[in-house]
Amino acid sequence: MAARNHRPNTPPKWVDNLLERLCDPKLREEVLGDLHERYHLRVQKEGEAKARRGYWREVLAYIRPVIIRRQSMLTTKPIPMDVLNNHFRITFRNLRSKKVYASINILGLTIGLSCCLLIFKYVSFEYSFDTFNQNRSTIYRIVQTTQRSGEEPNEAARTGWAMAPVLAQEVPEVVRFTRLHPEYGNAIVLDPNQPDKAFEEEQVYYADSTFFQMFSYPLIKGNPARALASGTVMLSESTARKYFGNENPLGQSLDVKGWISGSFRVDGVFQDVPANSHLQFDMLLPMVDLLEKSAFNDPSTGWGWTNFITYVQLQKNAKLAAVEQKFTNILEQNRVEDWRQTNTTGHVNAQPLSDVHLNADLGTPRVVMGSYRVVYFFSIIGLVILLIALVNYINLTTARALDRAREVGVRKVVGAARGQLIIQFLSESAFVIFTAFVLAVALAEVFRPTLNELVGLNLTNALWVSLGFWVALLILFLATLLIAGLYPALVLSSFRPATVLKGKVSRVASGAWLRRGLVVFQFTATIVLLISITVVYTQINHMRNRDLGINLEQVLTISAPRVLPEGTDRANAVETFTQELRRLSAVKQTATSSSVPGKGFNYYTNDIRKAGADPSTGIDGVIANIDTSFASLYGMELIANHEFNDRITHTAGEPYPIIINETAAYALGFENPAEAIDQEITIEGDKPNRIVGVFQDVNWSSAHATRENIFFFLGPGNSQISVKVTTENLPEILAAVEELYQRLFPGNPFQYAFADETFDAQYRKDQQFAKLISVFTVIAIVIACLGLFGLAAFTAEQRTKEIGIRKVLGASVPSIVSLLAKNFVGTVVLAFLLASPLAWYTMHQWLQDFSYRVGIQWWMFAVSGTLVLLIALITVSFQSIRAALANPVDSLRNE
Amino acid sequence: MRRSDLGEFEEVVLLSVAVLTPQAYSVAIAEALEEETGRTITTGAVHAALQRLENKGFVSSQMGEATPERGGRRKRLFTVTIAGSRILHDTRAVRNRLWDRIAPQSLPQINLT
Repeated sequence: MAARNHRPNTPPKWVDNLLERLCDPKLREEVLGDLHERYHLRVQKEGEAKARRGYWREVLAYIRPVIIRRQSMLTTKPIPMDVLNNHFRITFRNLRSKKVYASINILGLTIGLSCCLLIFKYVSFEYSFDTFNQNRSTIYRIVQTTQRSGEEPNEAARTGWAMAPVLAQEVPEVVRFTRLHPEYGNAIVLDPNQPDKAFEEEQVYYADSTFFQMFSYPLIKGNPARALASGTVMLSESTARKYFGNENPLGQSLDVKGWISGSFRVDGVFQDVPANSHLQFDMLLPMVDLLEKSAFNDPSTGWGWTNFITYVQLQKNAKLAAVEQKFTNILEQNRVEDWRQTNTTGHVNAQPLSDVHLNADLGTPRVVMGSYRVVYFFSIIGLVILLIALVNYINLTTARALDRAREVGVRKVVGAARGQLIIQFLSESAFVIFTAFVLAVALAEVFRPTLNELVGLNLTNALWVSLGFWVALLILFLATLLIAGLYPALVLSSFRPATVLKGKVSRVASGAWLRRGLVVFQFTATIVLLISITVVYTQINHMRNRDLGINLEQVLTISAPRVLPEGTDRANAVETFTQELRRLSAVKQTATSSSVPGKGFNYYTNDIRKAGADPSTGIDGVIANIDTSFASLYGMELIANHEFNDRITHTAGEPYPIIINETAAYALGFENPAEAIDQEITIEGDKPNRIVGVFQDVNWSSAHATRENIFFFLGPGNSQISVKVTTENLPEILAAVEELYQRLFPGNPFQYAFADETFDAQYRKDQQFAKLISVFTVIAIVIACLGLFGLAAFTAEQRTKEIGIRKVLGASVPSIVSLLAKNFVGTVVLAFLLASPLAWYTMHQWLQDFSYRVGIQWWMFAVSGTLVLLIALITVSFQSIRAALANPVDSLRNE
Repeated sequence: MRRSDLGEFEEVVLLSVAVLTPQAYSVAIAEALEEETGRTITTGAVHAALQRLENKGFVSSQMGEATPERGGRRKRLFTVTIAGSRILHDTRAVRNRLWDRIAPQSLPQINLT
C-alpha cells in the first residue's frame, strides 16, 4: 500500500484529507476510491496536468448534504428490532424478579394518577360552565357595587329593572339585553285540568323575550325570537312531561301562583338545561307580565329594588373599560338623589359570562355556585398526590441502581453509548408508567360515581368522551415520564464501566440525599393535609354544635298553603290549621313566621333608622314576620322585660309593633337593649314602628354568615308553620299532620322539614369539602407509605450481611430495629417541622371564611405529627423487624 | 417519506446501472454517461443520484472488489431492483405512448445524422 502512494498519478493528498474530514465515515471508502479511480482514468486520457485541474470539480461535486451528513442513508434499519426486543425482555425480567418494587411502583402511580384524572375531570367540568353559549364571548352580567361612606362596599350581581333598557338605549355597544327575575321561593303550578295535582316549582325565572336569542338553550318546540310574550310560559322538556305526559304541551295552559299569579299558555319547550349552566331553570315566565302585574309597576321601584339579574350582549370589538364607565355614569345619573341622601357611591362592572360560575360571592340567588378557590385547591391537591407518587418511583428506581450497575457496565463495555442506555431506561419507565396509566383510567372511571356521590357533583360523562381528556392524558404521560423517568435514566446511564465492573460503586450513597429530600417532601405534604383535615373537622364540629341561642330540636316546619279557594283569607286559614294542630296530643306548640332558621331571610333593606333621624344614619337589616308564639317555640330569650304574648295587637293608625335583636339595638345607636323599648324606628322612610321587645342574639344562619340586624314584625298567619312535637313516634305524628294538612288545604303539596336538619344542610358544602380532603389525605398517606415501605425493604436488603454480622456479634433485635428505623424517624420529624408552619398558614387562610371559627391549637399539630410518625414507624418496622429476626446463618452462608 | 417519482438524471443513471450490471458503480456510470452525452459528469453527482435511487428502492447495492487505481479501496456495486425495473418500464411505456400519439408531420423536422 505504501508503495502505491508514491505513484505519480495519485491526486493531491491534502484534498483527500479535507474530504476525509467532511465526508460521512461510512461513505469514505467508496467516495475516495471513486475519486482516485476517476483521477487515474483522467490521467491516462488527458494527462496529469488536466486531471489535476479537473480534480477540483470532482471533489466539489461531493460537497453536498447527502455525503456530509453523518448518518448513512444506506443503513435502512434505524432502530434494530432486536435491540428493542432486548429492552422489553430486560424490562419484563426486572419487573418479574422484583415483584414487590414493581407493584409498589405501579400501584402508587396508579392511585396517584387516578386521583389526578378525577380532579382533572372535576376542574374541567367547572371550567366548562356556560361554554355551550354561542355568544359566550360577548355576554356580560352586570355587577353593581354600592358603598356607603365608612362601610364595606356591597357588590352584587343584582340591579333594578329600569337599568337594562337605559343601558341599551344610551350605550351603542350594547347589542341586546335580557333581565331575569328569580322566583325567590317557590311557585305553585298546576294544570287546570288536573286541579288536585299541584307542584312546587323552585327553578322559575321571569325573563325578557330576548332570552333565547342571547343564550343558547335550544328549543324543541317554539320560536326563540317570539318566546316569552305576555301570557305565555316556556317549559323544560322534563317539566312539560311532568304536567302533560305525552300530550303536546303547546297551547295548554298552566295556573301559576308566584310573584304574579294567573294562567299562562305554554308557548315553547326547551331542552333540559345542561348541568354546566350557571342558570338552572325549569320554567320561564314573561318579564313583561311581572313588570306590569306586580309591585314593579310603580316606576319608583326601577333602580332601588335590586331583584333583577341583568345580562348584556356587547359588540365584538367593544372596549370593556369604556363601556363600564358609560354604565357607571348612567347608574350615577339615575341614583344621584338617593345617593346624596345616604352618602353612597357606586359603580357598575360587566362580568364576562365565563367568569360568572366561579365567582360565587356575588350574591345572586339560584345560581350554580362554583369557586375559583376550591378549584385551585383541588388542582393543587391533585398535583401534590401525583408528585408523591412520582417521588416513590424516582426513589425506588435510583435506590435500586446498584442492581443494575453491572448490567450498565457490561452494556457499555460491549459498546452501548450513553444515549442508548438513557433510551433503554426511559423506555422501561415508559412501560411502567403506561401500565399505570391504563390502570388509572380504569380505576378513575370506577370511582367516578363515588366521587359524584361524595361531593354532590354531576360528572355524568365517562372520562374519555372529551378530546381534552386525551390531550391532558398525553401531556400528563409525557410530563410523568420526564419527571419520573429522566433522572433515574441519567443516574443509571452515568456509571463508569471500569468502576462498576470492579464492584466499586459507591453504594447507594449517590443520590441518598436527594432521596431523603424527596421523602421529606412526601411527608411534609402528608402532614400538611392531615393537620388540615383536623382543623376542618374541628371547625365543622364547632359550627354544628355551637349554641345557636335557639332550640331547633323536635321542630317540624311546614310550608303554608299557596293555593286556596277564591275568597279565603290566608291568615285565617293558617290560623285554623294551627289551632287544629294544637289539638293533636303530640303537638306541644305552633308558631308561624315568614322565615325559619337556617333558611336566611327573604327581605333585605338598607335604610332603617330611629324615627326622625337623618337618612345618612340608616343601617342595613333583614326583615321577617313572626307571630307571638314564635320566640317561645324556638326558646329565644327576650331581654327587655316586656310581656310578650297574644295581647300585643296592632290597632289601625298606631305604629306597628316590632321586635329587634340586640345587635340591631346597638347598631341603631341605643346604649343598651332596654333603652330601645318603646322607641320608634322607620324602615325605608315609611311610617314609624314601635319596638316592643329586644331578643338576645341568635345564630339564625350558618357560621359563614356574619350576624345581621334582625327586625321582626308581629302578625299571625305567615308562610312558614313551625310545630314543636313530642319525641315519641315521629312517623305517626307526621302522618297525622299531613292528613290534617291535606284535609284543610286540598291541592297543596305537603312540604315539611325538621328545623335542625334544615339548619345542618347549610353545612353540606363544608362537609363535602371535609370528606373530599379526607379521602385525598388518606390516599396521600397510603402512597407515601408505599414508598417508605419500598425504601425500608430496600435498606434492609442492602444491609442483610451487616445485620447478620451484628447479630453474630451479639446485637439484640431491638437495637437492630432501631438502627434501621432511626433514619426514617428523623426524616418524618424534619417533615413535621417543615409542615407545621405551612399548615398553620393554609388553615389560617381557610378559617378566614367563617365568622365563627375555632382557633388553631397545638394539639392539632401534635395529633397529626404523632399519627404520621406512628404510621411511618409501623411501615418501616415491618421490614426492619423481619430483617432483625432473620437467622444470620442464612445471610452469611453464601459468599 | 420516499419520493417515488423518477428525475431525468436519475432515469439515465438507472438505465446506466441496467446497462453496466454487474459492473455498475459510480465511476463506470459517470464515464459511460460522459461518453453518451458529451457533457462532463462528476462521480459526485452520480453518487448522489444512486443514493436517492437506493432510498427509493430502485437499486440495491453491495460492496465489490478493490483495485490498485482506487488505492486499495472497495467499490460499491449497484443492481436494478424489481421496483426499479418496473419504474423503467413504466417510464418507457409513457414515453412510447406519447410518441405514438404524435401526429405525423407535427414535429418540426430536424435532420437526423
